[in-house]
Amino acid sequence: MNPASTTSGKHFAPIVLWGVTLVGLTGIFLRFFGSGEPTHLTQIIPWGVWVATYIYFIGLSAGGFIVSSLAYGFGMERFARAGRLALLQAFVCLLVAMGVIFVDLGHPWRSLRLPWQANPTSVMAWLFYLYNIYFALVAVELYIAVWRPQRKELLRRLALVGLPLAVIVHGGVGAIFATVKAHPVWHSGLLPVLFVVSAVASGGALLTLLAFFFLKASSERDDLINSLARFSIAVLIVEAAMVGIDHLVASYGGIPERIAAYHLITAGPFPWVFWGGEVLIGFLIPLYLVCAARPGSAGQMALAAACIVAGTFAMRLNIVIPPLAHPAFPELPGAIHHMRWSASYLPSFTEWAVVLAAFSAVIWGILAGRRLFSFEGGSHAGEN
Amino acid sequence: MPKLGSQEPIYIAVATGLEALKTNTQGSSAGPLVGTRSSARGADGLVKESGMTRRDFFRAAAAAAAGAAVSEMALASTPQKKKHHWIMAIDLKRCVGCRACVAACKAENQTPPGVNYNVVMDIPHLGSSDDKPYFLTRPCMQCKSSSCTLVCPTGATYHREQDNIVVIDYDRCIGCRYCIAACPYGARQFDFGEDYETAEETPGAVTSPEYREYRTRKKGKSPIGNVRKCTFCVHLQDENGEYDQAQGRWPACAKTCTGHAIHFGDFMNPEDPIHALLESRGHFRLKEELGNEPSVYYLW
Repeated sequence: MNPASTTSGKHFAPIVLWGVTLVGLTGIFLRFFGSGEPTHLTQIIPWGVWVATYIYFIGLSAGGFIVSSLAYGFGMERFARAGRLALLQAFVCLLVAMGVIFVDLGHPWRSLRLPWQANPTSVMAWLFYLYNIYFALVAVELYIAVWRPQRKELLRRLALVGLPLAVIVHGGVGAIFATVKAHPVWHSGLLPVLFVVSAVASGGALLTLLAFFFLKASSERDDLINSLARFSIAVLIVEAAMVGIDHLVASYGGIPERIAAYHLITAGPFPWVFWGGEVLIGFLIPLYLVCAARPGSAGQMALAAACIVAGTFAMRLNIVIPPLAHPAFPELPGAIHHMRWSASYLPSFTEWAVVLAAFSAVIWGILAGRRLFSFEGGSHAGEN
Repeated sequence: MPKLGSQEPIYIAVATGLEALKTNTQGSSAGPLVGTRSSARGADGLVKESGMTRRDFFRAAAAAAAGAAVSEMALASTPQKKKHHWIMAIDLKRCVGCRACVAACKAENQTPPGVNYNVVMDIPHLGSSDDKPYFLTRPCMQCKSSSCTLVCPTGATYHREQDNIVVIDYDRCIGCRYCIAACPYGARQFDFGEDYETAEETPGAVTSPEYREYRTRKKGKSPIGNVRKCTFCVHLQDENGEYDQAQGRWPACAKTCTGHAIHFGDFMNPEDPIHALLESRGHFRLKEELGNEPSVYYLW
């Protein structure tokens, strides 16, 4: 862990990790073997916190991978020190995302039949194939970066192929939503682009955080953290602009269907998810921290990165849930008096527990990676 | 309850007041009724008595050609002459908002709590003399250009070639709920696995005649964990794909409607009285601007 952390912190962190893991495992157990339905989803809001978590981790994976591609493929030497860590992040986050969506499915095991039961008009079906290609590429790149570091040219070429692939994968996740005309907020050409931009901002931020905790403290590491945090903030500003533009264009048009979901986001039952999570923690605080940081203050940069990582989760919740909470007809939730016809949704214990399982799994994955190989020594990419 | 056999359809039929169903389902009772796999389905989406359907043949062929990423869906819709296009015309002036159609739908399809294929919404009607709202009955629209079939990752939900009805292969559906999110009419529901209290006392007692599959409700087994929807009571069709109002083989909502507000007919048949009805009355379809071309018309 971070060499700067105190002795009490050294004992505290494993206890928290084990606690979160146990709660998470309880959640997974309840999902598969518990009596009663595990989620608080409704017919109006059929996708909840699990789907939000899934797109969150896919984004962190794609973002990490894009940064590694910039290092290995485009010779951005300053990021190369985090190359292995970025690939490991991409690998672990993708696996965790797949795990979360597996848990979310009504009949998860049937999804394994997708290779021969895919519907060509479904974005989701295409993504299944893309995930597999992407996963294979990440695995091969990680293997080369760690165990075959002399194959620089091969790694460079794979990184060049990987960059557009990662963009397509995460843009494709955005397209799952963007192709749904039933929900006007989703049905926008901007959404897949926003997904990619947001993936880079959040993935870069997570990588900053991982570099802070898992790379040996040195002035080179602090330089790396500085560059990564500033890079993430720059992309985050673009992301914020896109979110703002989307809101403004919708408000200007004033089409009731369209602004209803925005209204739910900014002034619905959970406005603090947007104002507190997305705007304050996810944007303003990290912006301030990075802009006000003295050069070389890695801790402050890491804190900014942690804020971006946290704020992005709030953003993912807002992408998935409020647009659904605006039903097909305003009168639909009242038509049937049953909890499953409600337009309000608060995740159940099981749902939150599975989310915690996902977060702990990422940390376990990184820790497992540290046992297998050194995170240092990736800075050979630009030497071609 | 003992293992279900040929008696089961009668039980359902009697329970829902459909004597006519006896003859229809008894005939096919030799075939698989409970726990049927999708391989027993025909291209019409209904369970077949026995024998290999063309769909099965292609399924086997596709499996044999493993590696070739052939979409089974393209093959599944076997070319068949289009015979019918069943449509509904719901008279907003006749509907009294009694919700008998909602109850009849539940009774006919034996849907669990929280799953309602047909709902009636109270749409505020400002300026009406007695504050009476419009009652908007909303079955599945059976869109010609449907969003649900487009997004389904596995092709588990699809249009029947012969009559445009959108059905779900319960054994193929992975329960991702993409179609629920994509449906502009809110016409699809997830089976969360809940049961009515009486049903919980005798597990397995409730079977649904949907698709003539007569599935028993059991944790982890379809249709629990699947998406479900209105099928215009497709299980009441005869082997030619025809309904018969006189015999009671008619969508439950239309049959039950106390105000005779729900009309049902074949758009492809020029003789069908539904044409005269549509011609004589002003009508509209919901969210026409989305281009889904619903098969449900509203008369006003």
